Amino acid sequence: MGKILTVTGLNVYYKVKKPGKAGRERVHILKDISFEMEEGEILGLVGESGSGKSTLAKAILSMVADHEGKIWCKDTHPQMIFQDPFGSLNPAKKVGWILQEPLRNLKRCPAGERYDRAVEMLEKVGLSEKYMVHYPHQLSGGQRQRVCIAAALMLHPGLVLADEPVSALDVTIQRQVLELLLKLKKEMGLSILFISHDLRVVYQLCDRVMIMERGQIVEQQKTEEIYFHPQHEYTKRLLDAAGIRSLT
Amino acid sequence: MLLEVDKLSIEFHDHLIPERVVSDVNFTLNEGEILGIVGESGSGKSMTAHAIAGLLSRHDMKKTGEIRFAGKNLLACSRTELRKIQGKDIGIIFQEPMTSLNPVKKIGWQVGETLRIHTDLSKEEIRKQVLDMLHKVELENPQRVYEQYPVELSGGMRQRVMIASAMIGKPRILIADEPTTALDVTIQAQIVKLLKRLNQTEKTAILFISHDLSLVQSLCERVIVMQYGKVVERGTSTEVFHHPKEEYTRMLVEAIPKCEYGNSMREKG
Amino acid sequence: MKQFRETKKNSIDRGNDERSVRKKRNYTFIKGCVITGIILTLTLIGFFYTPYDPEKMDASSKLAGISLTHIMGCDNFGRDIFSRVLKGCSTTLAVAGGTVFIGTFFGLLIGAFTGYFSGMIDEILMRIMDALFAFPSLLLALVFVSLLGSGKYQVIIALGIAFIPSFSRIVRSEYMRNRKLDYVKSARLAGASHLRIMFVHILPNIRRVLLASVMIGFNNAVLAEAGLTYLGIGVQPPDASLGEMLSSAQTYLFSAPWYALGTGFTIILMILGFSLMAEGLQQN
Repeated sequence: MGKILTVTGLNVYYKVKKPGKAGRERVHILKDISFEMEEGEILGLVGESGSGKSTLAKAILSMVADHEGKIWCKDTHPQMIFQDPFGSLNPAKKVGWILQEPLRNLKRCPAGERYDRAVEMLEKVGLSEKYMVHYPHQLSGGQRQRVCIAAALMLHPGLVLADEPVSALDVTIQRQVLELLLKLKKEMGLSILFISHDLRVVYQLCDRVMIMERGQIVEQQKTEEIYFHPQHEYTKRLLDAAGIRSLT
Repeated sequence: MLLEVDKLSIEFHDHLIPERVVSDVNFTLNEGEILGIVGESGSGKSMTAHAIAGLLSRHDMKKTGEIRFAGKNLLACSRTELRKIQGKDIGIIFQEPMTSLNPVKKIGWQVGETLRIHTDLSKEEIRKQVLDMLHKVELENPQRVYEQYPVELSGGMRQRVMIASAMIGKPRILIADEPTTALDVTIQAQIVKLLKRLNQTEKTAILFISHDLSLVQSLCERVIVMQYGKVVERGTSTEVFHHPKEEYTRMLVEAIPKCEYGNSMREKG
Repeated sequence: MKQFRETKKNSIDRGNDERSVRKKRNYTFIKGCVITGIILTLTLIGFFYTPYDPEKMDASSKLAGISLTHIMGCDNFGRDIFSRVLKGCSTTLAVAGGTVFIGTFFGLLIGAFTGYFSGMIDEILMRIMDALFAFPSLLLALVFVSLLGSGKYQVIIALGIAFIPSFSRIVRSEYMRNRKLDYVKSARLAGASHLRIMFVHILPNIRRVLLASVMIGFNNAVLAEAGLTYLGIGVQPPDASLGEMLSSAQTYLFSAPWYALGTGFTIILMILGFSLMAEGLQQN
């Protein structure tokens, strides 16, 4: 198995307008991030809000302007699944249209084939063809997230970034979506960077976990190691707060 | 018995088919108790809470049954009477501390609003009480927070401010509607601890509404499980979470991801 | 509908959005459509048939009152007011329509680019728009009319330019709001170009706001045209326009009130129709 993603010495800055001050201040968001991702691996990225985990995802998708360091990705079009399935589907378009959009832009395939491939993908995520003509607001949260997953997988990417994909869902539906992700990973050989603040969900899914605090990766280890033999103070604090360390 | 909800039903009439979002809900809340309401989205748990707080007064909504607070039926109360109870005897905190605070007013002003409306204390007196309350919700440096605006605070601090403004009227019931959902885990744990402490020191009964079963389990003595607007199971939290009687409750409990060595979905799948 | 709800109940993955699927009947919009329909029908009739020649003067029926032969009476030259209203409707609609078209088209372009990209171009263009916006649109139109001369087409251009700033403001704020949403990010990941995102992905989402502002703009254009003509620099006689007619009716407000009544009523109906439609669209 080769590497799918290598990040070395990544630094990201934002220009932030400080209230009451003229001009913009350059804020150091990500500090010297280095990690590697194996092909076919699910890597967890855990951190609290403001730790810079979403920024890291944006940087991998080359959506940040001001950065230093190297990001090498084997996949030319890595895809992303967003937290809020309500906001990440265009409310004015039907599911079928949304699913065909990547093919329309990046692959020149005829309309008939596009449609067939969209239906095929929809069935893969556990929805039937009838949902092709639904608008996003006619679907439930779980169904919407399935559509988001299908849309991200239309181009058969090697790497998928999932930014809190189940945080907005109810527990029972969370479980279904996680099962779906695992199934798709196996079927399509995906590598997933799974970003979450929910340690319990991460434990269920990820092979390896990185803990992030204020723009730095403080610990990265195999899942069992992190959960049962945490080294860093911050990791311990997170596990305590989630009530995981006291259980074991 | 402090609060008694008796056969509460809520129906929407803004569409051609009336829609029942809460049906025949019964429960009681004793003085100084913490009661949890658990359910997934659309289960009617928030609707029930808002009805108790008197926040549902839309003309296209029909409420039947009784909500008795200290022997008085809130659904039959006049508006003036209801206003006296709201804020004074029943406080509420919401999920989103971003939007539930007014962005253009200082924290001190917002927390003191209840006192200004319901009491005729002097300005100095109100200021003293507000600072005292900010201290009680364990905010560092209350004097500074008093002069700050909501944008200058973090999510956890904002939720503490919300709790302060709900608690300042010394309510007998505090309704907490998913108060930790928008917060980080470490902050969640702190807020839950704070609620527990306030419950003990101030003797305020808390109605804790959440979809997070592990939080409810750690905080509440008694639990109600709701689904599709109905109560499906009730009991002490050990009973409900460790020996669930209903299929739905069992499903909910099983859906909580666990962290046990060698037992995860990735290994099974 | 019932079936839909039952299938939802049966699946475990139940949505909480059943309520949003059902829509309320929107009576405001229907009312607006009916009134606008009446006006449009009258205009259409005016193209092919008028009871009298709208420009034929008749000294014998000068300022004649409402009667069976002249249902809205006659003006100071003895011309049939109803016939002139039928003709005038089309002038007024053309001026208002043209104005709104120019305003919307350029307003959309400017607003979309500035709102979507922001940065330097946005700053410059928006300051220019602010400067333009500082004048009342009618005053601005006056300036343009004095530069371009008066007449139907000049009025359309002048009012159209004057309407650009308000449209571009509305469009810009909508684009600024939408470009931050996740669906725009996922469109970028799907390989859509900026132009495609702007006009294929975002545009359908702001259609409601856009339509409503077009309707409101239309009302303002009708009033502005009437105002300009009232000042004598709009549509020139003998072209009939509702504004021109209302301004001449003013002289005879006491001696022949039906002159102002017929034209005024038509303008009110026109604006009411579009206002109701706009309001209905916003309620949706």
